[in-house]
Amino acid sequence: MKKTFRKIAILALAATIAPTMIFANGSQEEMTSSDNGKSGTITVLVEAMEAEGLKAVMKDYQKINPNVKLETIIATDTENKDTVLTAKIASNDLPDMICTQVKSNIGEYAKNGYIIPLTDTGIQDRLIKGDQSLLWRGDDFYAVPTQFSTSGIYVNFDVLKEYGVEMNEMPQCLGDFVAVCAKLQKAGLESPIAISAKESGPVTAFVFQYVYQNVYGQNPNWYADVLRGKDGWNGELFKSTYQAYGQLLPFVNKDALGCDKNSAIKKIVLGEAAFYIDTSAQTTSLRNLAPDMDLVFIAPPFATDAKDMKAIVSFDNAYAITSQATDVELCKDFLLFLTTAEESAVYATATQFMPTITGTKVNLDPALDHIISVISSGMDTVPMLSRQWIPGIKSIMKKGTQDWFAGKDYVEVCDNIDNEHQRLMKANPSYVEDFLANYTDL
Amino acid sequence: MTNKNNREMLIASAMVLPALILYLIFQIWPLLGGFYYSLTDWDGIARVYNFIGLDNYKTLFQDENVLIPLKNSCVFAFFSMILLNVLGLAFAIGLDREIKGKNFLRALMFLPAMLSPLIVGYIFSFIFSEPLSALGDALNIEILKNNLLGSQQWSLACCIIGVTWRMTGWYMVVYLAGLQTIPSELFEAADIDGASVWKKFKNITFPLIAPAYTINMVLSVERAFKEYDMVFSLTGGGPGNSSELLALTIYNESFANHRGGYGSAIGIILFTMIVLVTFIQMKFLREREANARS
Repeated sequence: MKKTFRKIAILALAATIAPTMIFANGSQEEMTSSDNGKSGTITVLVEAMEAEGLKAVMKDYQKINPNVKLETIIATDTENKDTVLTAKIASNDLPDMICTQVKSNIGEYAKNGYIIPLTDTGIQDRLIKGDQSLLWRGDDFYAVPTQFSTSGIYVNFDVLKEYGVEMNEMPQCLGDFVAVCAKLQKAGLESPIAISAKESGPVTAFVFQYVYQNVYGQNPNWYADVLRGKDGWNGELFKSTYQAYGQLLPFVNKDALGCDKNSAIKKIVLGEAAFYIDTSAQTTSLRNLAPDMDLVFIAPPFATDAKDMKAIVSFDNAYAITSQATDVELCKDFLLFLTTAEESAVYATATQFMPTITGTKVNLDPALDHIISVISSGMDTVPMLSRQWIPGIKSIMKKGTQDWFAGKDYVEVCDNIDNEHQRLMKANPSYVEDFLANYTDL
Repeated sequence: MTNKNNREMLIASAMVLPALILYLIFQIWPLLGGFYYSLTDWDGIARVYNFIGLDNYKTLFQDENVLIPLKNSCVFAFFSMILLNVLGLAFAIGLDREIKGKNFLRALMFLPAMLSPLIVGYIFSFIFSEPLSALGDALNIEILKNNLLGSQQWSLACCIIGVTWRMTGWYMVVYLAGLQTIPSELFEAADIDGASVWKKFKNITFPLIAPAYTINMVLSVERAFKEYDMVFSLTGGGPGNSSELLALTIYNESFANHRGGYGSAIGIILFTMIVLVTFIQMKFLREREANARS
């Protein structure tokens, strides 16, 4: 019954957020039947989970192309992947394909000719509806996303039950969330929220999610205005972020600054915390540690006003073919194979990532049922906008937010972030020009 | 005779040549490349860049994002140099005696030096966040309870502790080698003269291990300035930039902030600093060696 529900929910998600979906089935059969004798090795730069997905798909691909092999270069995380890639660019030693986070870097790689256009493959038409802007440069499509992610909060309902706190409805705004945290604390749970402030992703998660919901809620052109010099990271709008974050601090683990991601995950798994802020991509890690945990992933309730509440969704990691690929046609053929509904399901099953291809039928973890159903039922969505911002923004946000956690005044923190952002703008003027040239005010 | 000398010189040069070529290709060429890029605004990715002269160098001496890590690197180098040499020498003297299981203890001491710095970083990350936090809980010491790695006052000290744990055994081995070159007759004569332990250390041991001392002092400072992996895995340079060392700044500027030219300039400054400090150390320590010999 549960499985059927999840299948229906996935299909409903695809149907709801992909009204313009195009089922592109025929091309794969044509390709595979006519290219039986393909051979060669495809080298790909990926993270560990993606490598598992690729291996599963390659196994099927080898049934029709037994002479094709896969070689993976594994990076530990997104930052490490960027570093390896930059080093490979500098040493003129790019692999055949790269799997990169969907962010402004893709445009930079395309602009410099490190990755090649994939427009002629038609893969872009196989994608579910979502913000594709970062996958394109000009009229060309460059990267194939295979992971759909959403930011939010993992809730351990076993902990809520243990402390006798009911949450029949998910919190709809920051006030609701703070109220639940207060109840839990009153019931004896010292730190209901687990945050790993030692690492850039988790420590900046609240900041970015708050900005997408509230700052953009008040000024949809906020970042463009920052680049134009009309607003800044030390402006009143952004400053409100830390004032709001301050409301959560009494409920956050006291060792947050020294806490890494694994320690934070441990806290929610062992019931030392009820909430853990991250993206949906962490589901597998959590589930592996606690198969029976009553876990639910919810949209971030950080809007100060419930009307600004949005689900934060983005295409996440995407594959691109580099200009140094040994056999471009082989790589394109493999990507076409990977993006069929059947193989997309194989990939999603192996990785437990939310699929990006229309018509994919896959059983995902029940923790994601809730978020899939609220997105399917028409909740407003917003992409992970920080990925459109200038490269390096996450690093300066990490430093600033850690300083704030350590007790520095938020006004000084905002001033520092603004100064740092000015440095990045000065160092990368072409990014600023490109962003503003392609930006349309909302 | 001259012909023979010339032929020998030729053979010697030919034998050195392969190593010299490799050295030029893999050491000098990248260094020159780094210097060249430090004079540009290269972002690390783009195929084109502009020559901007010494702008990067002018900027970095006023940039807090470089000056704080520079200060951290100096503090880190100073304290790790002292701890590594004091503890390395102490363990070497202890394990130079005829005690049961001395070979096993020497191997045990050296073992951490064989571990990857990244692994050591993760081990210490666990130690600070789990057993030490539990100890802090039991003793009700707030700062220990909340993980020392999360404290801006303590994070750099934690890195120094980690590197000391990992490398003490390595420095101990160099000191042991030095101690074993001291003729035992000298100690026997000192014993007959009724010299105290301290006097024997001050007047025999310490002067005669001068070459080992020179090597260890120079290497400990040079390595500390280049330290990257362990700090990366232990604190990531944080909280804020309280434990960020210059090597991490080079990485962040070059790869995260896409300022390849600027990162190269910091790299050149770091290189120059290491060369200068090494020269100064060598000058004083070689003088000390000469005094000890005389």
